[in-house]
Amino acid sequence: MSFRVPTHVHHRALHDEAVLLDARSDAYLGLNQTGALAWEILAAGGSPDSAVDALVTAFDVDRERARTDVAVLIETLLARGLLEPTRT
Amino acid sequence: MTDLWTRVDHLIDTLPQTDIVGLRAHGIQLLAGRHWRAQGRQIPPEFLADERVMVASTLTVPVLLERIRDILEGPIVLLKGPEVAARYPDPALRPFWDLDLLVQDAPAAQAALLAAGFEVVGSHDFSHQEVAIRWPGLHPAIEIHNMPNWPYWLKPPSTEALFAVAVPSVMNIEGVLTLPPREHALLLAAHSWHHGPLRSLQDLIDVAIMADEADPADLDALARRWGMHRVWTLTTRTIDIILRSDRPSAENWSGPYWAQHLAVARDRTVFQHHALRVLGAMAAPNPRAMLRGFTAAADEVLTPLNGESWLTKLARMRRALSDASRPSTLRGLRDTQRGKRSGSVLAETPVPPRAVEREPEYPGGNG
Repeated sequence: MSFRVPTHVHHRALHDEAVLLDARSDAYLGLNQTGALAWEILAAGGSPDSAVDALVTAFDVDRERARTDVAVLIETLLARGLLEPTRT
Repeated sequence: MTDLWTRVDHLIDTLPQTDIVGLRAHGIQLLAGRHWRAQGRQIPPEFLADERVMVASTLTVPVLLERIRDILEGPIVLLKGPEVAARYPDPALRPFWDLDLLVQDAPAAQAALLAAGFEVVGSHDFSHQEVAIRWPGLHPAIEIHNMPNWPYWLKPPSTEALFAVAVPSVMNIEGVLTLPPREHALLLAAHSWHHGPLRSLQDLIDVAIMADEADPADLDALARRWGMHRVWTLTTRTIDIILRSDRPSAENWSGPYWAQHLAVARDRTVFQHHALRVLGAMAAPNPRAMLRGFTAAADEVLTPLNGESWLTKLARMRRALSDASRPSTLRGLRDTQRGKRSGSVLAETPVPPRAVEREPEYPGGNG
């Protein structure tokens, strides 16, 4: 499964964080270090598994917890319209 | 010639790192943050907050400009801010707290934007352009101008003349124009003298970047045509001194009094701010313009501004006297917090973006 960033969402990295602008709701959103790393991979079309791999490599976290956290993050981003699934 | 940004880094190395107010007043806090980060130094939390705001702004500006373009009829000329920022190593390193837009009919444009949902920033405004507005929740604010900000004692080029030379903006949005580097460099210099001689280091850097893209002889010729040759000469001389690698330090500064704040990146005091607003007319092209400038500036300092009562003016003067030795931007911030003014540099800083959720925080991050 992969995702893409809708055209109404503008984003860029800020050191190890990320800032998003939802131009539909005019809301700014920030992602911390872990969220930003997962976002970077998902926004580039990477799979959730790739995001989990990146978190496990970069942080002192076990795979199961990283998998759960990535799933929650994706669910949140989808619910807010900040990410959308790509058709495969 | 040494690269401008190397010279700016060198300048930052010579400045007192503890003067956060001074660095912010001079608009170089993000350049300082970048340089210190590269050196492994700690970044003050105030600068981190500014970084977030400016990154958010770089995302917002195209969105805002497209909205404004869709609402307004006729061309829009984007001045300063993002146009200059695009020439920095990263556009998010150049703070700007509003977008300056030149249009042919400012009152009509302002009315159209307000009707479309923009809202007035603050409760009152004493400035000479339309009252600053913003799209609810979005940063930066918008200032609509009929003519560019110019020193009292100089006649600005006509808006028609500026529209005639306008070129597509670096923002690459259809219908949004800007000035070519030659005109833009002179406009930035004139703006820096608007409230007194050479307001900040950011102004100097901006002028230097823009002037680098124009032919010096052409710049000189246009400065003469616009009657601002003295302003231009003083500005370029100061750039040469301040951004020179062997520039004099604060201790052995022998340059003019009005440029001293640039040597140490110190905020001007309230007293200096007001005194130099009047004395700035020293760069007027002839004695008559100088006298006119002194009179106009003194009038603005000593009499009520647009729609302001004498009572309010007197109260402001009393506060100015008691704050005479305080940094002027801090005083501006206090006034803004009281709802007396809008458009102050520091006060328009919105809250940094909030987190989407509480994402997990893991130990051992290597980012």
